[in-house]
This record gives sequence, C-alpha cells and structure tokens, in this order.
Amino acid sequence: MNLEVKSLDCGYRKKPVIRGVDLVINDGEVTALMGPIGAGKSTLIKCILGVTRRFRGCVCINGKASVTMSHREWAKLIAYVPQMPERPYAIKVLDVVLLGRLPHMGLRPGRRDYEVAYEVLEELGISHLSNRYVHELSGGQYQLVQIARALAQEPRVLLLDEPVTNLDLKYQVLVLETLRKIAREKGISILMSLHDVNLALKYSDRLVFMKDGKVVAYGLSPSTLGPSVIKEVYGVDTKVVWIDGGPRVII
Amino acid sequence: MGDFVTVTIKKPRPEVGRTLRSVVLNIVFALLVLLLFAVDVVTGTYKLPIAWVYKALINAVVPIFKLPTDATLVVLHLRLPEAVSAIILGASLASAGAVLQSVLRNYLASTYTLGVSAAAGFGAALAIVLGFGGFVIKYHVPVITSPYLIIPMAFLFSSLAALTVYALAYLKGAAPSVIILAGVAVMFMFSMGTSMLQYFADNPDATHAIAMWMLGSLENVRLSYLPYMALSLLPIIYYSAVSAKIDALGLGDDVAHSLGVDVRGLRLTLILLTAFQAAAVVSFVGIVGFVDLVIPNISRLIVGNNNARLIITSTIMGADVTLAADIISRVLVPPYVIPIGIILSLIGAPYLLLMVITRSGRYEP
Repeated sequence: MNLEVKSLDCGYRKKPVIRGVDLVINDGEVTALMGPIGAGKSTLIKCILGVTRRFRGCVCINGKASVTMSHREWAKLIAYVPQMPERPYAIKVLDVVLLGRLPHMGLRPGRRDYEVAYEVLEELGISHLSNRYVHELSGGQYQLVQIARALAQEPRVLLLDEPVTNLDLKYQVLVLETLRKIAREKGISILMSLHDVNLALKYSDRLVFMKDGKVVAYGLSPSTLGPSVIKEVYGVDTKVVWIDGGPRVII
Repeated sequence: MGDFVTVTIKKPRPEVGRTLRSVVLNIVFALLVLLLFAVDVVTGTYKLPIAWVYKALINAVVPIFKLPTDATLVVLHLRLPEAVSAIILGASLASAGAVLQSVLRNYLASTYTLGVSAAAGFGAALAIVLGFGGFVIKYHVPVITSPYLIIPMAFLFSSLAALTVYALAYLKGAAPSVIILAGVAVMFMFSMGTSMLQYFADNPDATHAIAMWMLGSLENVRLSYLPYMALSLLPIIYYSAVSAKIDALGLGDDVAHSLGVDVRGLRLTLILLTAFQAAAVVSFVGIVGFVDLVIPNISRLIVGNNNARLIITSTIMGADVTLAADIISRVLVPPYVIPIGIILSLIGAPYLLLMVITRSGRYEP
C-alpha cells in the first residue's frame, strides 16, 4: 500500500505553515524527510496523521482518502511515533505495547492482542524488557518500545518524527536498521524525519527535502543526491564521496 | 510462524499472573469493606446490643425477628444510611480521583480543584442564609433542620461549576492545563462567594451552620437519599469500559489520537462525569476532601498505573478508608461524632506530607 499526499496545505490556527506538498511513499520503502529546523517536517508528519489542521489537499492510502475513513479505520492503517514520547509512570513495557492494539481490540486485550505484542517485542529484541517499568528504561530502549507499540498496531504506514535525534550512535544504528528491516519484511511504508544526512543516505531508500514549508527535492534515491541540493536546503558546502558503493556526504 | 505461536502458548503467560494478583487484592479489599461495614453499623452513640443491629438489618429484607421499634428505627434510619453513604462516598470519590489524575496527568488533581466542592458549599451557604432571613425572604421555619433547600441548592451550584469548567474546556481546548486553571478559578470564585455570604448575612447562627455543613458529616444523610447518592457510582462502569483509552492518553495526545482515541471528547466526558460524581456526593454530605486525592495515589503504589486496575482498586479502597474514618469518627470522643471531613483530613494531610518527604524525584506529575 502506498501513501499519497496531494497538494497539502496545513498548519496551525489561521495560516498554513506547509504549502502544496505532493508526496508518494511506497510500500516496503523507507523515506527520509529532511530539512532545516522549522522547515515543517513535524508539521507535515502530524498533518498526514491527522492531528494538525488541514487547509487543502488530501492524504490517501492506496487511493482511499483519509476523510472517507472512520477514525478507527485510519488508526488501523497509520501508526505514529513522536520525537519525544511521553513516558507514563508505573506502567510496564508490555502494557505500552498492548496499547498499540487499541484500534483492534474490544474492551480488554484478547489473546490475539497479547500474541501480537509478544511477537513484536521478540522481533525488536526487547522481550527481556517486557516486565520492566518504562520509566526505568534508557532513551534508546524506550524508543524501541514506542516502535514496538506502533508495530503492534499492524499498520501499513509508519510515521516517525526524528526517531534517532536524541539517541547515541549504537541505538541510532539499531533503530534505523530495524526500521529498514521491518519495511522490507512487512511491506510497510515508512516516513521518518532525520537530521543526519549520512544516516539518511545509508538507511533509507528515498530522500525528501523540505525548506520553508515546501518540498524542495523529492524522490531522489540516495545515489542521485548532489551537493547542490544540500547547499540549497542547508546552506552548507559539502562534497559527496562514494564509500562501499554508497554516497556519503562530507562537510 | 506456526512454531513461534506454539512456543508462546507453552510459556507460562505472564499476563495471567499479573491479573491474578490484582484480583486477589481486590477480593481482599472487598471483604474488608464488608467487615468494616459490619463494624460501622454497630458503632454509634445510641447503645444497642450488637446482635440486635444485625437482626434489624436482616429484618429489613426478611422480617423474622421481633425487635423493639427504637432499635429498628436507629439501625435502619441512622446506622444504615451512615454506613452505606460512607461506602458510596468513598467509592465514587476515589474512582473520580483516579480518573482525574490520569486524565489531567497530575497526581495532585482532585475533584476539589474542579471547583465542584466549593460551589456546593456556596449553594448550601446560600440556602442557609436565605433561611435565616437574608436579603430577600424571611422564612419562619428554621431552614437548617430542613435539608430540602440545602441539598438541591448545593447540587445546583456544583453542577453549574462543573458545566462552567466543561464549557471553558470545550471552547478553549481540553488541555490539562486549561482544565486545571478553569477549575481553580471556579473554586476561588465560589469560595469567595461563600465568605461574602457569611460576612453580609451578619448572623452568627448562619455562619455557624455554614461552617458545620462544610465540614462534611454523614449524619445528615437520610435513607431516602441513598438511591440518589448511589447514582454517583454509575460512571464507574463507564470508566472501566474506557480504561484502555485513558491509558492511551498517558502516552500523549498525538499518540492517543493515532491509536484512534477521541482525545478531546474523552477528556471532556470524563471531566463532566467526575464532576457529577463529586456533586452528587458532596451535596448530601458536605465538603469531603482527601479521598479523591490520597486513595488513588496509594492504590497506584500497590497496583501501578494501569487504569483498569487502578480504578477498581481505588474504588474499593476508597470505600474501606471512608468506612474506617466513619468508625473512628464515632469512637474517638464518645458521645460526640467528629465530622468525617475532619477525620479524612487527619489521615490525608500527614499522608500528603509523607508523599512530599519521600518524593525522591520518582513521581512525574
């Protein structure tokens, strides 16, 4: 299933902050959303999710527009991981992951819900944490828990707002590798915003650059990225080097 | 995939163990409620043999015993309403407090900060003052012994307060900060109103009556009030049904929305229901605090923050603590009965201090 965004204008209160965004994110692919701070990356992600005010345009999954679906239906399709997720006190990891089953479950989690939760925890390699309290975990571990929660929703699209910005290198690599693996194995479309260009080049299939609320460059596969794009978006002079068959950006 | 599923079933499922523990705890607490109820009906200033009390209670359902009329009257119209209203009071306030603290993401939230209790106090004060020949009408019947005016007035104004907070939240966005600010503003407004009434009424009896009412006493509850008070228990069913959604709110509004929760609608509904619970209880009993603040915090230490468990355990524990407080209020200085609001404050205030002292940075408000 692919996610399609057409002529999207969205923002807060009266004025749109993002204008005329057109985007397609294909299934099985990881798309990195990049741009300077304030470019509107978070706003775009939240708008696709449906939390920010949409002035114009539509968001469609497999041709079906979001406004034609019920809240619950939409929740079954799209999952979201915010940049700094809130951490509830005295709640266990398993409980948080089970919350991902909300769009699917009745009043209480059933056996299937528990099964999915265990599976997801196993896949991400954090089943040993299932009985720990979330407030005891490190930032990276909690990020993985949030991703597990999002995966428990069994979504077709996964939106992540700066999933690795606050993590150390070990967890940055772990999270990004896991995301890429999940996209391939489950055919999920992943859109994530990133700051680090090199991480984006290594771990994503497509890049989208935003600046001042507009999409500046889009759909570039990592192999066609040039210093001109980076100069335009970030205003920094760089050089593209090829290492191990992939491009890397040197400042 | 098939192999993996087999392994899962063979493992001892941890979720069974967790639920079992809280079920056992809840059963223990519930039995405690029965025990405390049995003790509470027996304590009181009117001397009655213990056996008579239970016989009178059984008689109410199946008349098989012969008892003197005064015993039956005292048990059915004094002891029973006190004990049952203690249970209702504790259960509904504790559940309201648990829900509010989760919804507002603040462990110091209580129905008091919604302004409902203060508004009830104002309504009662107004009724009392009018009865004592206030500004407009002179009554010749001492209104203080006739509660017919006080209870509806208290309920009217507490409902007004609830609706005001609801309206403000509806218009300005149902964020926790908005709700708390609105509630505190309403609380101050009505507290000030009550003080002004006491001042301008210029009647020491009225002032005394208002002060006494506000302390909260179960003695004022009549048997016929109980069905109305019991209405405040109904929202608990709703809370249990949406407990998973309340949990989702704890992950943040955006995430909750992504999980299909109507964040604004849910928050507004819960505010209204908890305020109604407080209004229904406080209008009959007076201002009783601390139950909704303290009990959920204690339950949280025992069963954690999972709302499904927290709400049930808080409800039962609330009934326990209020019954215990009622018993204490009767046996502390016989033959006087200390108003229950005072006893609960006696328990609650040191507990809050303890919470502050042992804080050690563990609590995230």
